[in-house]
Amino acid sequence: MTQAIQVVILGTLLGGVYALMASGLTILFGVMRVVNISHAAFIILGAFFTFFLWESTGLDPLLGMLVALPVFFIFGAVLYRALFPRVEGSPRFSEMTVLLTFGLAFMTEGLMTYFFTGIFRQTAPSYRVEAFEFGSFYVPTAQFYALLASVVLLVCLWAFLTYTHTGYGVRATMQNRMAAQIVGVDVRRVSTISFGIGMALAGAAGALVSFLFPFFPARHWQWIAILLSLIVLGGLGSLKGAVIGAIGLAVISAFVSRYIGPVWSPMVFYGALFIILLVRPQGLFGHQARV
Amino acid sequence: MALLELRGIRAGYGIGPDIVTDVSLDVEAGRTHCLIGPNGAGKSTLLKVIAGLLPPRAGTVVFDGQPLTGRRPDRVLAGGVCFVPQDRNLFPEMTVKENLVMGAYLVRDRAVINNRMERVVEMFPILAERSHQVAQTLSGGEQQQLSLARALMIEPKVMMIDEPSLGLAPQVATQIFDVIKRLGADMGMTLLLVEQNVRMGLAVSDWSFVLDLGSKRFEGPADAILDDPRIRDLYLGRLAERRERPT
Repeated sequence: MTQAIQVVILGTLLGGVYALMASGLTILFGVMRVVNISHAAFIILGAFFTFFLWESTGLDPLLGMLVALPVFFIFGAVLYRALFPRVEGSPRFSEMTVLLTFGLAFMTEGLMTYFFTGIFRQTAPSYRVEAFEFGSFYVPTAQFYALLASVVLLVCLWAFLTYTHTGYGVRATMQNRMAAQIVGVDVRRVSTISFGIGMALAGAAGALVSFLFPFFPARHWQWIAILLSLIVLGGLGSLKGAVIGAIGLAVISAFVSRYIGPVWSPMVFYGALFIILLVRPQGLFGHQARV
Repeated sequence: MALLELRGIRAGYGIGPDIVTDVSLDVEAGRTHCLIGPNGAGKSTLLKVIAGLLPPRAGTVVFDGQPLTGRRPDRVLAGGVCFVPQDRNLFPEMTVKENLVMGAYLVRDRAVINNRMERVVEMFPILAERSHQVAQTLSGGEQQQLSLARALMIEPKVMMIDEPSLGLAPQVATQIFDVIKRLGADMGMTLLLVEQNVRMGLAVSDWSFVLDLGSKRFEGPADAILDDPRIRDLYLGRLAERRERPT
C-alpha cells in the first residue's frame, strides 16, 4: 500500500509537468485548429535556452524559466506572423499546418543538432539530486519544484483565460471562431497571442525538462508522441481535459513502470490513445466535431 | 445618399467560382429590406462580404459615407454594422449571460454593458430566466433569440439577419419575426434580412431585392413584389402556386 501511494506521488509529480507541456498544444489546437507537431521540438529548444543560460551565468533553471517565458512568447508571435498567414485562407488549412509544423519540427531539430550537437545535456541545480521525506514517503525536490512551477503557470493561464478581456476573446475563438469574429474579436490578434502563449509554455516546460531529464535534440519525437496522446485523451482543445489526461496517464504509466517494467510505461500512452479513439473519439472533455 | 451602398460586388470562396457576380444595391436608413432568391443566389455570401468576413473580388461597400471594403470584421462591427448568421453561432459552453457580454466585446465599460443587457433582456424575457444556462442547452428558438439579443448588445445601426427562421417550428419562427418586426417598424432600426420563407420575410419588410445566380434581378416595395409577374415566373413560381392552391 505504501509503495502504491509512493507510485501515485511520483506519477502526479510527473503528470503536472506533462500537463504544462500539453496545455500549450491544446490551446493552439483550440484557437487555431492547428496540431503543432513542432511543440516538443520547441520544448527542447527551451531546455537548451535554459541550459546555456545556466552554463554561462549560473542562473538557476527555475529563474531561467522566467526569462524563457517572455523570450519564447515573442518568438512564437513573430513565427506565427511570418508563417501562418500564408496558409490561413487555404481550403486545406489543416493539412497545410500539419506539414508546416512537421517541417518546423525537423528544421528546429536540425538546427539544434548543428549548433548544440547531439550529446545529452542536463542542468544540475543543487536540488536535482535532493529529496525530502515525510512519513515513509519521499518526494524528489526537483520534481516537486517542477510540479509547483507547472501549477503556478497553469493557474496563471486559467486566470488569464477566465478574467481578462483578451482571455474572453481567446475562449470565444476556441468555442466558435466565426461567432468570435461576428462579435468583434480580432481573431488574427488572438491567434498571434495564443501562438505566443503556446510557445511561452513550451519554453517554460523546456526549462523544467532541463533539470528533470537528460535531453538532446532528437528527443522531441518521443515527447510529441506522448503529448498528442494526452490532448486526444483529454479532448482536443480542452485545457481541463489535457490536465486531467496528463496526470491520469502519468500515474498509470508510473504504476506500469513500477510493477510491469519501465520498458512498458510508454505503452500506456499509446494504449490509452487506441482505447479512447475506439470508445470516445471526442476525448474525455471534447465535443463532437461540428460541421 | 443611402446608409449602406454596394457597388459592383463580385465575390466567391477560395479558388472557387464567383458566387456573387455583380451586385449593386442601396440600403436606406430606417427601413427593413429583404433579400430573396433561390438557393445559391448568393444572398448569404453578400452578407458575409458586407460583414467583412469575405473580402470581395471586386466592388465597394460604403457605409455612412465611409468605405468598408477590405476592413476587418471587428472594424466593420465597430462602425455599426452587425451580422446575425444563419447557424446562430453562439458560444456553446458559455452561459446566456456570458454570450450577451461577448456581444459587447468591443464595449469596455462594464456599466454600459449591464445597462444594455437589461434592455435587451426586456425584449427577450426568456433569456432572463435562462441567464445562467449554457447556450448549447437552449432550444432552437431560444438560441435564435439569444443570437439576436447578442447582436443588439453592440447597438448596431444596421443589422443583417441571415435566415432567422431556419430550423424553427412555425410557431417559434412567428415569434422571432414578431421581434424582427418590432426592431424595424417600432424601433426604426435598419435591417437587411435574408429569408427562405419568402412570405414571412416580405411581411415584415418595406423593400425587397431579388437575387438570382449572383446578381440582382429586380427590386421593389415588399408588399407588391409577390404580385409582380416577373418575380412569380422567374423565381417564385412554385411558391406562388402553392399559396394559391387550396389546402
